[in-house]
Amino acid sequence: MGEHIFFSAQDIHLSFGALVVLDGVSYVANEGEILGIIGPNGAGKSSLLNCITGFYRNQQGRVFFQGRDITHWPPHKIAKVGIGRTFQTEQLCGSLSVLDNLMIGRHLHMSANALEALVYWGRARSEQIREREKVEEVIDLLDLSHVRHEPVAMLPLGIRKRVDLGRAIVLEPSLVFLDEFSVGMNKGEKEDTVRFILDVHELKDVTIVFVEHDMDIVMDLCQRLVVLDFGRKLAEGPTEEVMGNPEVIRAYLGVPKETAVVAESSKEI
Amino acid sequence: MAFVGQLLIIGIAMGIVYGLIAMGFVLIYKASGVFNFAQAQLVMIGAWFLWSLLEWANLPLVIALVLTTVLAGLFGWVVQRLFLTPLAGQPLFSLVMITIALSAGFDGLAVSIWGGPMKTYPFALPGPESLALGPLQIGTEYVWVVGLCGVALAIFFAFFKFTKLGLGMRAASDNQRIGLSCGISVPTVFSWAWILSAVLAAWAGIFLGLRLGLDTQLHIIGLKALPVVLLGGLESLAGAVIGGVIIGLAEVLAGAYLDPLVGGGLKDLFPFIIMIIILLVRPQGLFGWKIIERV
Amino acid sequence: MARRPPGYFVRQYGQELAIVNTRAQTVLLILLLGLLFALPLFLSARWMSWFIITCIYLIAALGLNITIGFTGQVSIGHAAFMGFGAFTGAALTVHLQWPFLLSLLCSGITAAVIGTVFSFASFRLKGFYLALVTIAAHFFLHFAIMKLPQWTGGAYGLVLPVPSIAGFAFDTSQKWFYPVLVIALITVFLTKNLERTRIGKAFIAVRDNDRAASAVGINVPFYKMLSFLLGAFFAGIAGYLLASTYKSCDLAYFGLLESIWLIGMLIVGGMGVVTGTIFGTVLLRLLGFVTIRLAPSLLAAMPFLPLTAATGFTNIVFALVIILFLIFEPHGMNHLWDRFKNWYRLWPFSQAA
Repeated sequence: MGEHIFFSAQDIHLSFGALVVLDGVSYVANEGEILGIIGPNGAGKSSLLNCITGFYRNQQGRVFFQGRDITHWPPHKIAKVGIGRTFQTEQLCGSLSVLDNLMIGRHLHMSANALEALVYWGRARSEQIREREKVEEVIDLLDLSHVRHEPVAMLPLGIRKRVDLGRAIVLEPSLVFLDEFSVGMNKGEKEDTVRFILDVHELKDVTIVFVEHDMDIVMDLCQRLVVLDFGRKLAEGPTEEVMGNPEVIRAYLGVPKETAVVAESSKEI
Repeated sequence: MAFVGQLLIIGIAMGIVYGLIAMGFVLIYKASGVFNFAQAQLVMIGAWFLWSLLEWANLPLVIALVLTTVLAGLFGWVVQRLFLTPLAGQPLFSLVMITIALSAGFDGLAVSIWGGPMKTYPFALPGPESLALGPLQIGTEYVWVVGLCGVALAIFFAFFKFTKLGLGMRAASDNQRIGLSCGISVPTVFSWAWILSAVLAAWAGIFLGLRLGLDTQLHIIGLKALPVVLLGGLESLAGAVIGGVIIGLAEVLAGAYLDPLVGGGLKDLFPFIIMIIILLVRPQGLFGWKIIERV
Repeated sequence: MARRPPGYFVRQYGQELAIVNTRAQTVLLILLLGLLFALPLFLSARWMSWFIITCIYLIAALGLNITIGFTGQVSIGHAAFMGFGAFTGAALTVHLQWPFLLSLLCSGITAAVIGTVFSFASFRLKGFYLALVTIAAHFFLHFAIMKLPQWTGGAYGLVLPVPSIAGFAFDTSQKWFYPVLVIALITVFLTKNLERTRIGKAFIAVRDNDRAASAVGINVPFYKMLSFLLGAFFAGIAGYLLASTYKSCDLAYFGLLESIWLIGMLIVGGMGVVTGTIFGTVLLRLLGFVTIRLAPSLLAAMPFLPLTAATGFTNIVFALVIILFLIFEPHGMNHLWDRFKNWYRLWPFSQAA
């Protein structure tokens, strides 16, 4: 595929046995934009994300990133290429502190091998210090300084979600997928986190894809939208255009009763 | 031809004994999700209970058998109450480690009480030495084993399907909280799983003792039941028996045909080779559920 | 986690990573090392031999700590890895007259290779399924040793010569003490380093949450393999050292029971922390020493017990100790030690902890 396309997913099919989750979904993400993937519950948004990032294995379809075919790549290779993600249920190392969780996120930016690590020689030590400085920047950005030595299992949900976000950012990805980060957060926490995300977007020049069901966030932030319903793409395009699309409205708000009866009877004819 | 037939019978009978042991594993796993590494030791201790009652207390055989069953069940109950209940709710690793520690402890216990030279049961099974079936000679003890196993299976099948406690056990093993909220006493379920398991183990041990003599190495045979459990599937009682028969046959056939090729020793290793192949190819075994912790 | 000593402030990131923090701790460490190296001067022969074997088990336990403690891969075959290493080194020494250090290295490497092979199971299995496969390692060891009697001595094992480096023979336990101590100390240092570098952190990430680990670029299967490799390497070294101490290499030293002992050391001491491993190993070895001393009195008190009760007794006590820790202090002695340190450092305001 062309090198101009930053990211594209093409014709993704995913089924679990007889259950079809994704039925030929395709979309693109452009460099530097904020894209939203929305759809009712069960539409397949998170499954699509899992296929792209290597956690699920789609039966058909290809994924391209910066000119490379990354279909079916394992998650760690996808991270290496510069794609980060958060998880719907934040995935953190519970027994470790916030700081350690983020330091783990810098794994790819460090390079000491096992032998050097055993002896704690040279770069094994210096890179720990160097990366610590980078991680502290992110901690400051995300306002986590006051809890950075606390084991994450003890922290409230809002902070854990921020750590999850931090883990994704600290990777220094070019593309970040945020998987329903607003789940379980109250309005204040959501607003705070959104502010952080926007800061990151500006400062680090990252392309952001929101997988979301919170319409406020989506409408306010996303420049383009992709709408999924029952594993199919309903629409893709600039936000206002997509939100005005009658199919999209129907998928979200449903159809008034009389119109449904008319539609049914017209089918029989 | 008669040779192969003889082999098959030995294999099936040994396999059924393995199956009895494996059923014990499956019971506990089905009821509580715990993998009881100490099952082999329960087998051994059950066998020794009978011997002690016969040799030291000089009890008549039938009374000794009944008492062994009771004692074995009691032992299982004590172990579960004393060592597993305090760990309820802890990560699975702790539970597994406790059964591993128990296995070492029970080994020590057995060695302390019954150590020394190998002993034999001071009785023989009633009936003729062996029955003739066409050209084959079947040792009577094999007939007893098959018969007993059939009875045990039928009882357990009915138990799990028709009795309140049995249904409760199946529910509790699936999801403890839901079981609790339906009024099933989860601690009772766990206790009964261990009691029944210990009884099964004791009877398997008695048969092993009859056939092989009693010594403190009996638990190594119990270890061979591990591949059986995996082959049959951790959730299936019938699978345990079928798996047992397959492994028993495989072991005997390996001993007869493969051992001469490699100069011996493969017979003991063979069940474990099968186990590894199963784990890598089809971890849920033949009849288990496919909810295995796979990466 | 223990707090830092009062009055000690960290000003640089490098300081936070250091093993020894204050000057007081440095002095204590030097004194401790001095004491250790001076032990042969005043320890009795029995205690010398206890100490040497304890150091050897410590090396093996530290290796197991990498596999189970850091990376969460349950392995009950560690003593088998020790055996593979030991028999390799012993065979090289006895049949090919290879020098001690070279045989030692080869023991480690062989065990590391075997460990790597078993690590493939961890790519697809977790928890007790993985544990079952590692148990099989013992049966494979038994088979291998019996199949190659011309190299391994079969059921009789091998008799080893006195270990020597460059002509200097370690023929007394006072002399042999030093190489063993040095190797043990080096192993402690190496594994503690692992804890604070990228590799160690990757191990811990694999243990705690392998999905998060792979999402940040950690190649989970690779690190699982590495944890087995490193763990088995130290096991192999320990195995050969054990054989050199006993001057014989015998299957009996490397059974399933020994593997369970090693895990017990990790549990009792505190899983996943190097200081915990040291605690656990020393405690269980002390326990073994005490119970073996008490065994004759026990047998005298209960003469109806068979002679084998002596070893049986040790195993019963050992199992009870592990179970007690599992029930009452699952984080091991290391946690107790941290709590003590906190109490001590905050005293008289210890309630604040």
